[in-house]
Amino acid sequence: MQQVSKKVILIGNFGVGKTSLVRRFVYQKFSEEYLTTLGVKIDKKSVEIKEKNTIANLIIWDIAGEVSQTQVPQSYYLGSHGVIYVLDITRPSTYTRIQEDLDYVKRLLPKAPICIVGNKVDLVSAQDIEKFKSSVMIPVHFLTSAKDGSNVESMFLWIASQMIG
Amino acid sequence: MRSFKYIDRYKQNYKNKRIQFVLFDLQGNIIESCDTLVNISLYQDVSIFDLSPFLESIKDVLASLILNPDKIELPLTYPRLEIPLLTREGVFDYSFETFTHPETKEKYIVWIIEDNTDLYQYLWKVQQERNETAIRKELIVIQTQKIIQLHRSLQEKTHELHVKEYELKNQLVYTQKVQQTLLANSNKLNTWFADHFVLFLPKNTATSSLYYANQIKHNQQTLQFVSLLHCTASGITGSFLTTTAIFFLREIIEIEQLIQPHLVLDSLRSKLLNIFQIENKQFIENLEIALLCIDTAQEQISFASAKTPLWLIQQSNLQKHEGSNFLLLCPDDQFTPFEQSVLPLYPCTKLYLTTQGYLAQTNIEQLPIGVSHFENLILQHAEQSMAEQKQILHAFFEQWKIHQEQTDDVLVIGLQPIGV
Repeated sequence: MQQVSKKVILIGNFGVGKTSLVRRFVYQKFSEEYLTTLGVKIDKKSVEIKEKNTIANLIIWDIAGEVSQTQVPQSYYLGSHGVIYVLDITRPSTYTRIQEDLDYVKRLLPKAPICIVGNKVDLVSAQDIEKFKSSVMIPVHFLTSAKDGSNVESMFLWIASQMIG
Repeated sequence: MRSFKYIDRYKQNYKNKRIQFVLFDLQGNIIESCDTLVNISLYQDVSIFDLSPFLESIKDVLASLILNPDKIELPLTYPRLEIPLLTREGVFDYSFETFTHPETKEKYIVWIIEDNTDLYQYLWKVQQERNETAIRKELIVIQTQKIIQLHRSLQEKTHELHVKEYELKNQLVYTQKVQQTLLANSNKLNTWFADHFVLFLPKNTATSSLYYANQIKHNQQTLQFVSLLHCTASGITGSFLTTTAIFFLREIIEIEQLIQPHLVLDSLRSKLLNIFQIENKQFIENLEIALLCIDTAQEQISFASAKTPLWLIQQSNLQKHEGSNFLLLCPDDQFTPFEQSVLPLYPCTKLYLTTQGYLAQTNIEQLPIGVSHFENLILQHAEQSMAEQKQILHAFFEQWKIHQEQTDDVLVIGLQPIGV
C-alpha cells in the first residue's frame, strides 16, 4: 500500500465545531466546553483508503474561526490538498457568507476538493434540517455531530479519498 | 553608534527567552540552531520535516521559497500556532526566510521561532469572551424568533379552533333543531294519551337519547307507537346514530306499515347495519331501544326492546318486562330474533320507560340512583298525575345529583293510554 501525506484545512465561522470534529476524529473525544482556537491547531491521523490502495496521512489544520475566511492568514492555505468548510446548522450567521468564502477559497486553491459540512445535527429536528438545507442553497456533503460522532469518520474518509484522486 | 551596555544585555536575555533561529536545507538537514527555546540541534541526524506534522505539511511550500521565490511573498509567516515546539508547549509565531551561504552560495531556509505564549494567552481570553458573547446573543435572537413564530402559529391555530368551534356549535345547534323536529310535540301526545310526561334532560346540545311517538291507522286499527332510544356513544356520533334510527323507525312504521315491535326492531337493525356497512363486527356505537305498540281497541300492548325494560303499574302492581338482553347492533353471533311481549291493557295502566341516564346518575358518594329507587318512586306516586310524577322524578334526580356532573342524557317517559 502506498502512503501519502495530505494537508487538509478546516475553516468556517467561530463556534461551529471545527476543533470538536478534529478531536472526535483523532481522539474519539468530545467536550461540551467551548474553547476558542486562536490561530491554528495541527493534528495528524492516518486513514486507509482501501479502494485506492493507499494510506493517507492526514495533517489536519484546525484554523481559528473567522466571520470571513479572507481574514485567515493566506499562509495557512498554502499547500493545502483539501478543504473542509464547517457550518453550524443551529446558527444561520455561520452560512450567510458561504458563497463568498467558497469563491475566495477556490481562487486560492483551485484544485483542492471542498467538503461542505453542517455540524451539530444532534441539536436539530428533521424539520430544522430541511429548513437549513433550503437556506444554505448549496449542496451540503455531510451532516455531522461531533458530539455523537455521526458522519465524522465518513466525512474525513471522503475528503481523504477526494484528495488522493 | 551608541552602545547600550545594560539595554543590550537585557535585549539579549529578552530575545533568548522568546526567539530561536534554525537554519536547514531543503532535505530537512539542520545546519545550525541557536537552541534558545528548544534543543533542536539534538535532532541533527533526523530530517526536520519528521519533527513536526506542521513542517511535514509545508515541505512543498518551503521548497517553493527556494526553487520558485517569485511565487511566495517573503517573509512567510505563520502566526498563532497552537502546537508544541518539540517538547515546549505554547503559542508560537513562525517565520521563514531564505538565506544564501556567502561562500558556497547554497540556499537554506531560516526558521524564526517566536514564543508569544504570554501575549496570546491574554488575546485568547479576549477572543474567547468575544466569541462566547456573539454566540450567546445569536442564540438568544434565534430562540426569540422561534418563540415569536410559535406564538404566531399558536394564535393562528387558536383562531382556527375558534372557527371550528363556532362551526361545530352551529352544527350541534342544527343537529339539535333537527332532533327537536323529530320529537312528537306535547299537544299531539295529549291527544293520543290520557296523560303523559316526558322528562328530557339532555347532557349536551346534541343528544344521544331521543324518543319517537306516533299514532297510525293500520287496517282500520288505530295504533300508538312509542319508542325510547339511547346511543351508547355520546356527542355528535351518538346523536347522529339516534337521529338516523328515528328516521328509519318512521319509515318502517309509517310507510312500510310494519306494526309488530319485534319485527320493527329486526328491520331497524338490518337497515342500520346496512347503512353503516358493518358485517358481523362489533359496533363501537350501539343502541338501546324500547318500542311499544298500544292497541286500545284490542286492549293490548306489544313490547320489544334491546336492553331497555318496560315498567307497568296495573291495579297497584308493578311489573317489569326486560325485553331482549342485547344491544340493537350487536354482532351476528350474539343476536337472536327480538322477543315480543304482548300484555293485556287494563284500566288506568301506567307505562314507564327510561334510559340508563336516569338510573346511572351518581351522587357525591358515587352511588347510582338504581332500579330500586326508580321503581319505588313510580310505584309510590303512580296515583298522582303524570305532570306531578315528572316533577317528583326530576326533583329526586336533582337532589341525588346535587353538585355532581350529569353523567348522561336523561329521558324518562310516563304514559297512561286513553280510553281503557
